[in-house]
Amino acid sequence: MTDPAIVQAPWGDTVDGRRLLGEAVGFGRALRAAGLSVDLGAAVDYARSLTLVEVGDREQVRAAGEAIFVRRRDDRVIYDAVFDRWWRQRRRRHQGEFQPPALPTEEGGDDEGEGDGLPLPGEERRQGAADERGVPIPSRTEDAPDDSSPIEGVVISPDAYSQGEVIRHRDFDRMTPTELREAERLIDLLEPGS
Amino acid sequence: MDDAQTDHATRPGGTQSIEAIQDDFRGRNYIADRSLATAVFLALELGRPLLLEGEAGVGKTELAKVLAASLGARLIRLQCYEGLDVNTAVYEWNYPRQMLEIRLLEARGEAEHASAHDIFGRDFLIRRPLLQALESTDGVAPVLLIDEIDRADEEFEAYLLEILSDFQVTVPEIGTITAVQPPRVILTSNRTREVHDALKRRCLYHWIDYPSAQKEFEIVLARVPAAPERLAREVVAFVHRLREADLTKVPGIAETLDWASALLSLGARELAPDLVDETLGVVLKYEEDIRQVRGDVARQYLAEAAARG
Repeated sequence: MTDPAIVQAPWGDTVDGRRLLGEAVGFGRALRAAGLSVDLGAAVDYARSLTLVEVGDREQVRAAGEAIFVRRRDDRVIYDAVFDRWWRQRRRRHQGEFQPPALPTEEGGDDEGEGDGLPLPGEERRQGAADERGVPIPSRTEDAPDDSSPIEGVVISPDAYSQGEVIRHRDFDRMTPTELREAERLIDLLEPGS
Repeated sequence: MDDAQTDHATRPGGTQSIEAIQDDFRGRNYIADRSLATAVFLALELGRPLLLEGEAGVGKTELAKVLAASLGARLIRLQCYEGLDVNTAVYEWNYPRQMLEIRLLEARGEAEHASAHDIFGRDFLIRRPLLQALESTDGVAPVLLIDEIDRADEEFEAYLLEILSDFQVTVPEIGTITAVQPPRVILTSNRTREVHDALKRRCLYHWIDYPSAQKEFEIVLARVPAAPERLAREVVAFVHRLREADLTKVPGIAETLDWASALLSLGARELAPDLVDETLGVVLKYEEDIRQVRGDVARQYLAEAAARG
């Protein structure tokens, strides 16, 4: 009947899981650009977590991302800096209403590896530049990478992972269109509101 | 952002809310800050293990205990150490009982017709913590505490990753045992070595810091309610000063609480230099640390702590 990606959030609004995932993936990419080890599974978890916490509550959203994206103590400083920037951009875009960005901007497509994504804590950032960059959704198909590229991390045994598991742990920059669609399907994991 | 503040603090259909966890933990004398409560909440909601890292004595293990109590769940603890293997962590065959069974079969003249199944059945299985956690059918999913994972070998960590992925183990002679109700998993690490990234990806993560002086003061009052406020404040200030010192092992929260209790039982109402010297062994666990601090240094710390308070 309806699009399975459209789910009801606990607070009553309907949420487009795909766009929510886009927002989460975008944030994940910003964190990756800043040096954190982030995979798609974490982004999916983050999308799910955004349906569980109060998305208007900065501290809850910050803490949710921290629990999911931070994996070592030293990551925290980087995380907080990237979150600050992301939250400010998001607030300006949506004025407190939760909506993911519409589409990646031109400049947003290839900013990975620029290395200037991370403002030092406390540093006043160049707002304009940061805004233009946005948080792109990795939907480009023309440069879809080799399907056989190795999965990040150590796979203990081939049987240890289901197909979904492989996707979860895949570096989302190296995903094929098919895998991206599969990733979007994972948003079904979003719990429908009761 | 105020417009987004609606009344969904308690999620409809949800088990808990972040605030409810914080309140409940506080009622159990565990002071969790918002970000820790959020990590616990999401671990429960997303069904993910929660990896807690932090210095020894910041309350990582305690959190698992409090969580189990809060959920009304059984706590199953696996203490890790170097050399921990499947036999100790998952299952082991009850060898003496198998031998006995063989003797009985022989005595009854049934040994000829017996098959391996007769002595490799579930009755002969000794269930270690991980298998206990998977087989638990209490009605409430148990809390599985995997304590100090950094002390286990990396091979065991890899094995654990498999279990945490599928919540099932395979016993060759019996088959695959799958969890009826996957346990809530808390892992702790003192970070004597880095936990492998593959395992971290399975988990939500939270680094527990030493508490702020104010928070630790609240913890002391909650845990040692008979302690006078002044004593509690001075003890906390002194311990905080010790944590900045170059010591073999700085005191954790447990030491703060032990010290407050010890001083209380001595009838102390406030800290005094002699009292500190006499009871320093409760806070510091290494002789060289005690020698370093006892006397002048303690006096100086006491003065600094008093100035802060």
